[in-house]
Amino acid sequence: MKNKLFILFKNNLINTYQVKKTTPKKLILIIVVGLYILGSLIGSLYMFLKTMFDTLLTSGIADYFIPILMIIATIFSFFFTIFSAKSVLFDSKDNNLLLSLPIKRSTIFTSRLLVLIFMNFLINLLFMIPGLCIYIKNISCTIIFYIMIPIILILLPVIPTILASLFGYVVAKITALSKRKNIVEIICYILFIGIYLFFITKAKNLLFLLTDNVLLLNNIIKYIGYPIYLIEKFLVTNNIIYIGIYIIINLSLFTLFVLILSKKYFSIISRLSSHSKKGVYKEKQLISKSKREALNIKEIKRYFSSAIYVFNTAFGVIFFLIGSVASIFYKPDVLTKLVSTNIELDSYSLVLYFMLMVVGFTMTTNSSISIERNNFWILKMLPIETKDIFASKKHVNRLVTLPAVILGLIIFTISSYITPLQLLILVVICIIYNLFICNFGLICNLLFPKMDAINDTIIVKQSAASFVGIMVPLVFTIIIIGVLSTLNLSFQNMALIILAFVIVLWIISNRVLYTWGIKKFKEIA
Amino acid sequence: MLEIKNVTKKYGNKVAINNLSLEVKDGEIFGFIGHNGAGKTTIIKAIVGIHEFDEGQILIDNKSIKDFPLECKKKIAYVPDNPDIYNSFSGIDYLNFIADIYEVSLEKREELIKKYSDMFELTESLGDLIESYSHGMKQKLTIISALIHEPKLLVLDEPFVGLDPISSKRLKDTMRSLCDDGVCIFFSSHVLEVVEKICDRIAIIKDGRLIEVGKTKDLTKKKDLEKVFLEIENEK
Repeated sequence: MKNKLFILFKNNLINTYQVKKTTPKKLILIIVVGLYILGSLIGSLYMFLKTMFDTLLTSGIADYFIPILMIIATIFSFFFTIFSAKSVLFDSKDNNLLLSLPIKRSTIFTSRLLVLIFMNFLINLLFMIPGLCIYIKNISCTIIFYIMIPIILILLPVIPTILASLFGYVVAKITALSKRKNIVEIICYILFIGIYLFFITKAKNLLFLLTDNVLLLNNIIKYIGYPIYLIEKFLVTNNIIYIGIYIIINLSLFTLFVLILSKKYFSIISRLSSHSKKGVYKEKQLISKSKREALNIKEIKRYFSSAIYVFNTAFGVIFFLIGSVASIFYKPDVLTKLVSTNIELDSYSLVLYFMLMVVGFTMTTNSSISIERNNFWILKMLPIETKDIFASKKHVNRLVTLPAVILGLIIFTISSYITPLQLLILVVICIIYNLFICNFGLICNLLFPKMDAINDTIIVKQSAASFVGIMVPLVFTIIIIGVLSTLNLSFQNMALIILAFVIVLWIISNRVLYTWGIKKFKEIA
Repeated sequence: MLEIKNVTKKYGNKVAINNLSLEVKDGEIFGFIGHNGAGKTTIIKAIVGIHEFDEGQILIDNKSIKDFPLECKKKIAYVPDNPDIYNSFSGIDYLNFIADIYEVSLEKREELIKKYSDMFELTESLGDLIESYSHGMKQKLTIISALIHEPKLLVLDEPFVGLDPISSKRLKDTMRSLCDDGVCIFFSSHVLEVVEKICDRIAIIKDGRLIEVGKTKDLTKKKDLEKVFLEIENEK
């Protein structure tokens, strides 16, 4: 049992991260790019957490720093997992193979759950490493603290993973009952986002409220996040009994969850893999399309056939539309809340930065080649120019981004956040930036193709192409916000600088894609 | 129709195809046999433009697949050894998509889709999503999609795997009839009885090298193809 679990877990990781397939040259590139992005991320998180620590220290409640850090990490990993849990646990391509082997269903389920926990462990480290550095630097810690911290870190992702998996289970259960599985899955995720937004608007300035109110903070940690409360107690008293209880709670929940869910596991997988039939086909008049149109329709169908793909890429535009509608009823501070920034900005700058962030995040092309998976031979075999294939993949990205963002900008104009002239300029920036994003996504995917993933989540959320594809626009937008906010420029000047910058990026990316990219596409088999 | 001239394909240091040359004429059914991993699928994927190759030339109707990929691909149809096709499409949508890409006229596509889907008993299921198809049904759909644009060169990799006996027989009949119309068929199979029965010429490949090529009747003059194959394999 132990051995099989280890083998499955190891295989899942190898399949997910292609450890053995990566060539040394590519590995170096991944490490360099990864370190650069991680360095930038950890660096900016360090600055944010330092401000938070100083606030807590001034209020005399620095002991709450680690528990708050754990809450942030927990919420973040919960969010990361909620959209991938169903796919990783239930939709893997190797379901039939594994279920036919002499392995307990609970072992298969546990191995997949462990993969999710491991991924969340890595995400938690992003927050915990800079946070712990700040804590250790400013507070004298005992030897027991240093011994216990790895245990705390290893067990920290267990509860958010279980909660997200529970949600994934509910989504799987509902979709298994439905004929239109993908649509139902997308609706489930939209409902979740709706509920999340409802609570976020209710919990106005929660973090600042908590830091001002020790009793409330203590109660919230105690009654909602009891395991974190135990850590807080351990930090104050240095008593390892609390760590003992923390370990028991996490392991008990994990075992209980595995025992209960693995009983239902097989029936859900079976239901998800069964498909309804329409009955006898009645001949109908076929419609002829041009090559380009046929390819575009094929790409759109592929895009909407994967709920995780849709949700992971359309998340930003949904937020943008919600933000724009909210702008009719609220002053600019509603946007500040949505983009989570405390910088004082003019309403047009807010819209501009929000738009840049959303257009950058809405990248479908960085997964669009890998998502072909076993069907890739069809594109390679058909008499189609590679540039037409690229065009159809970019078409989907444009379709997801431009109508929604332009509509959002129009609503922002109606609510007087921006003037009609600013609207025009922003639309031009949006279109050209999107052209660059489409190209950049394809370049990322050509650089890091992953054609043998066992599910769409690995491609959309965990591949090197998706990581680089999202992180680079994020860093780009942060740099733009940082530089332009300090320069205090007028809207026209700011827009001109950004426009010039994105035009240059677009021209360069076009050149790379249609020379190196075409060659690289032909090499992928 | 198909000329393979000194083609070499390497995967790193491993030579998958070693200086392979052969020619297949119009109206000929050419069987390509060899043990697992001999290089059959690699050369097939090179012919249809899926794999690139390191040296040599592959000519389709006197045009190089490397230099004129589009012109060549328009004349080719390919049925892979594993029918992985778009699960989110219905059968009819997939066939219509292929017809659009090959620019088949509406009248022609309707006629040929009807003809071949009736022949392979798939008409009733054309409205269903491909994800609900069995392996055999997907195989039939890839075969139909390969036939609806009336290719000049049909490249089939293990086409009989997953087919029921009736469909298998109909595919063999279709291959012969296409051949009579001048279509060139290049196919690989492990079912030596079928190869022996329907092929005009046969090539045997081992470790990426061509070790025997000749007319079926010459190769099987004294013994059946299975014995010939085993003897050649053991000798060389």
